Amino acid sequence: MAPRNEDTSPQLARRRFLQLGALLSAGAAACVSQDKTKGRPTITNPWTNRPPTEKESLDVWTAGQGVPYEAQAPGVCPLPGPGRKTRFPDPDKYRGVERVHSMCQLCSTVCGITGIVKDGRIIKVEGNPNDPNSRGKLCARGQSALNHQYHPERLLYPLKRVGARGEGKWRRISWDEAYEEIAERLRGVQESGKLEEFAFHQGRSRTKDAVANFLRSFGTNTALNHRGLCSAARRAANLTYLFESDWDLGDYENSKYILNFGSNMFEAHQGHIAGAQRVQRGRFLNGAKLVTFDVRMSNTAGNSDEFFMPSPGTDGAVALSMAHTILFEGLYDATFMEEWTNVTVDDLKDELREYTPAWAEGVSTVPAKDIQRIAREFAAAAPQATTMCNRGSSAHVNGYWNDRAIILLNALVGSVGKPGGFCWMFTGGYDKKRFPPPQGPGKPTTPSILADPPEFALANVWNTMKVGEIVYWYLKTKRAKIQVYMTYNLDSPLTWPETDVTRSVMLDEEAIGFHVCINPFLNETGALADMVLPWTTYLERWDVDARGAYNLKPYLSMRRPMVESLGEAKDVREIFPEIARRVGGSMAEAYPMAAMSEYMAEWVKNVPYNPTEDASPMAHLERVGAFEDPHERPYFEPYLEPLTENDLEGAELNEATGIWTKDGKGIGVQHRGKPVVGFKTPSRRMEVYSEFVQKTGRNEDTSELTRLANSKGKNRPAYHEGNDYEIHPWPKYTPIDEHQDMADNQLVMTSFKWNVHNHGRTANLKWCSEIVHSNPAWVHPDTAKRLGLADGDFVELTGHRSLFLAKLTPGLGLGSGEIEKTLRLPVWITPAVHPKAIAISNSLGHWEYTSVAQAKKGNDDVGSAAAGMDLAGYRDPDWERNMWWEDTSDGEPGAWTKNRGNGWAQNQILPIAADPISGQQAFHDTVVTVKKVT
Amino acid sequence: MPEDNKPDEAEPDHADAVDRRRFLKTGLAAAAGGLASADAVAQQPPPADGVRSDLFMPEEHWRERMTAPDDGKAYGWIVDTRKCFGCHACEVACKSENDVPLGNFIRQTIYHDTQRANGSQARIMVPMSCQHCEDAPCIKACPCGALHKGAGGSVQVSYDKCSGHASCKDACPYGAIYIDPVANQAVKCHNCTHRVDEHMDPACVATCPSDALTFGDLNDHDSKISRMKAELESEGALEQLRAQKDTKPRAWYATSADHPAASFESKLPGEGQSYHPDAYSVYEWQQTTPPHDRVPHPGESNDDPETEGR
Repeated sequence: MAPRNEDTSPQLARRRFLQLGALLSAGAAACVSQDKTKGRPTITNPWTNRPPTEKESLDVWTAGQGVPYEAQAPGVCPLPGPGRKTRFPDPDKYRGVERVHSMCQLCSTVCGITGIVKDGRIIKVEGNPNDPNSRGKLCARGQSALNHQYHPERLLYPLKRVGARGEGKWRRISWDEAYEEIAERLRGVQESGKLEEFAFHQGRSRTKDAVANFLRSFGTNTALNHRGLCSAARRAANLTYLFESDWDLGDYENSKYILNFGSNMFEAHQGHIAGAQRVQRGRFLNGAKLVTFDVRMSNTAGNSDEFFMPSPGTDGAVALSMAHTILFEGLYDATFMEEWTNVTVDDLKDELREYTPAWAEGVSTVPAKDIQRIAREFAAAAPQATTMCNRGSSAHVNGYWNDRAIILLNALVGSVGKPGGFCWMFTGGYDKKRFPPPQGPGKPTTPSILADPPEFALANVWNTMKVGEIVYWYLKTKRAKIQVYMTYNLDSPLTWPETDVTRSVMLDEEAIGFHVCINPFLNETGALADMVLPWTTYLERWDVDARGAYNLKPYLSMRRPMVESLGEAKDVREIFPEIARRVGGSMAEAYPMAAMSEYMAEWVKNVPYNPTEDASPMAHLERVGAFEDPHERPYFEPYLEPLTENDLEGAELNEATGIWTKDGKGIGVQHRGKPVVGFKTPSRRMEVYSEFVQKTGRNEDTSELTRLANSKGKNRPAYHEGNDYEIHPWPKYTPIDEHQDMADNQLVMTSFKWNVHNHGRTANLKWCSEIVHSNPAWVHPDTAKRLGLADGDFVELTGHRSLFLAKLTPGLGLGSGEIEKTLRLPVWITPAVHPKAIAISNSLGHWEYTSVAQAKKGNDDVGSAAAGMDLAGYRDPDWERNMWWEDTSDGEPGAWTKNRGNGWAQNQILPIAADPISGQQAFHDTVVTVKKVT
Repeated sequence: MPEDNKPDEAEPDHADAVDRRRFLKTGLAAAAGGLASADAVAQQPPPADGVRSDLFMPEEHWRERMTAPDDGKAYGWIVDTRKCFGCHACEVACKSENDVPLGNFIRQTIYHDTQRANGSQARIMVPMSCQHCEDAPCIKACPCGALHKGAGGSVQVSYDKCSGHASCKDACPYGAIYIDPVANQAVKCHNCTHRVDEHMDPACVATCPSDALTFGDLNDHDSKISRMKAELESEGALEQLRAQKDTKPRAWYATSADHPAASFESKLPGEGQSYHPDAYSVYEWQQTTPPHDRVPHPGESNDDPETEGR
């Protein structure tokens, strides 16, 4: 057993030590196995026997862990073992590297990032300090980028299913074969004359230009999305007041009072990192107070200055009673109300008379005296006061009303558009007019019932929000059909309500003829597809992008490849032209530009740059990563912008309304004797009272109104006829029927997001999943007492459909019964949740999406999908060896260990619940019957 | 002057091994009256007020390593628990920066669910990592002489010396050290001096969206940390964790009057413990002690290491 290595090797030197040590310690005590080495083989003193082999050495070192040297070999300090660290930390790590600026895409906030690239490999991803929104900060998900990029189970080659759909058998195909089949299928759709039966369904797309071009050039309007599941009600509420924007951007950094209804800005939110850092700066540098109302103590709530727990879905009641207090105690900004809202204080008082704090206490369980006090504080801090809200208040069957009530508070105190107040921007991202994407020609599109279902009044009349959660129900009830279904960054079987509906429809070849899924991993959607195409990661892709800008100035940033795409992964920017070329005709004409870099350079050509510093706008963006115009003013009080001479040329003033029009279209309003732009609404004021939504609900013509708004707004299509609703023109509170008179064993099931996860695509990131992989249900101690529950006990939940919605939209045929499948999961007992609620995260419980998301150590269960991967090339010994949270209980409640396993999928029992006003899916209202599992 | 039992090829790694060995024999004999068995060492309860002086080597062994290099810098930390909202970005940035194995953590943020004065609920989030003590017990306990002071007084590990005794882990009052499962060597926060030397912030500091972490040179009176320290001290908001142990940590915590360190201190790991992955479990958020008693550390039930090192 001669040593393998030569003279000067550390291994050899060590062996000599060991041999010597062996001589010395002939009489020494055996290596004592102590607590720390439990489970490891007990090894008697190895030095007395023989020199250990190369492999044994590692075992020995490990077994000897923690044993003081004296017990091993007196007088000898052993050398570090063969697995020892070298150059840790490495002083050269950041020398000789390339820094590539780009944008994250692991959630919707798209923070600017910088990749550290060395020898063609990304060794670190961090925030880009030049991004004006995220300012160099990056959350835990973004910091897990390397888990995403170099994941062993990343899809690198196209796959085609073998056997039945959903059987899980795959074979690798070439891109040519993939393109040919897709093109053939698309030509089939063209021949059928039903272009709308090509459906493109994005989970999240930041490549809107390419997708729009592709779909427009084909001629389909069935561009589906997830907006209905996300923010439809919130956006509809903002649009009701403003028309110009669907997204409020509170100026938190300059605020003195931030009144938060249900937003978990510190863990989630579409503006997450950008907004959260400004809230904290507002608080700790500007003395702002953060008050949060939430059904559950999120980290935002837990860190807030004050925290109240209203009953689920009652945020609107609290907000309206605050409005009542502000109105009836005379704390409102009379000038703003008079000049800039379209209601009188007296009329509003009449409308809100019943919404007293005492009433709100009864509805919400929040004490009336606190409601009043907070309302007074909010008003006193104005105009540097703003509300903050998101899905907590809006993802309800009454979400649209909750948010209308909340926004009203800003109008009352006159903080609208003011520094530190309730603000917005004219664009939700980059300025498309200033930096238009190069586009090809497009054909007119045919109407699509899937994209604009007739039961939903406001979903598509301002922006096209669609009603994503109704798609599979429509397909199931044969109200629509899809010939070719292209899914893109979508995980609907996990993230959509009623998993059974989604899965059964996706498996049905009558409902969906051909399904091609574009994703970097084999997720739940891909598992049900006919073909899966390996999409590049966001680190390998080009985009021009930006998010809602909290500096209130539009900015522009760029996503650029940090490294070559792995394997054969491609972005849609490559895939679409290839398909288009093969489909031929006008589709092929839509792609004039050859190289991607040419396209991108054309897109950003208007970005100002200093020629002494950079060769071109593109080079400028390459160097700094983002552009924010230093000459642009923040979008404060945009309604006070004076009309120019040019604007006024040929314009007419309506003396009665004060509205200026030109060619019949609204351009401004008289304000203190001067013409200004005003709000871009029909009344040219902030619309507390909305004739537009009332008429739209009734399917009446709104063209008179939208002409005056001259910004957004249109009629519902003719086929919406018959689906009429009375949408109250004033803010109001709508109680949720099914929340009244609940039985003792019933709770309202709410859902939530974690700071280390987004809705559907981060559970495969090991550093994120290590921290959060399990989602027991949060229940209040009162509930636990009533049902006899202890921590870790399992409950069985049955979901009930919404009575409220069944009454409003009986035509959908969903009814008000029980969801067939039940959900069994453990509970966590905590006072940090409302006694009426049971809170379960919606982001866990994957049954696909890599071993990491399934919490299975190693990569054994990949199966034939491995043909699309390079498991050996991207092996992760850390995952194979050190993964620690596998669940060995096999679904047996008594055997489950806390914090093990990958959680439970809430959507199995969460019903499709689409609000007919905005199309919003209610994620926080489900009444569940709770049974202890014994 | 090589001793008899040292081989001819005295490898550079252990140039001072000779002197050390002499001292070690003396030191240990003096300390515990004979060979300290591994069991006896493990069974010592963590001292409430003091440190694990039973593990300390004689002063001559560590005096030089306890002396920071003469670079004129004094690196320190301010951690603001009032600002931290527990996003875990710092922890994952550190994982990414250092390729920390699963089940182990250089940095961990502990959640503490509690009540406010008015009865409503609150969540205090406490970012933890090595406190870079000026009088570091880990340096004193290290038999191999691997632990030492680096740039600015950062407490760091030499990986050509560390052979995984884990005396440092046993001695650390803050549970800040883990033993790498493959390298079998001690790993802890090293102040990202490889970044600091390149004029970058430590990975965690750079990414914190709440500006809850501040790192810098306390000897530079114009530095952000110096100014912040002065301001927070005048507010009376600064304190140190387990100050009674007198290890002179170079980390100060800004806490609110309602939720001082004393209210969450018992949750923080201590001597003989490393950051436990189950500390993240919701079932721990309301607990008042670290999870070590309730859940075995996953690293300890690992059977058979098989893979090579990194």
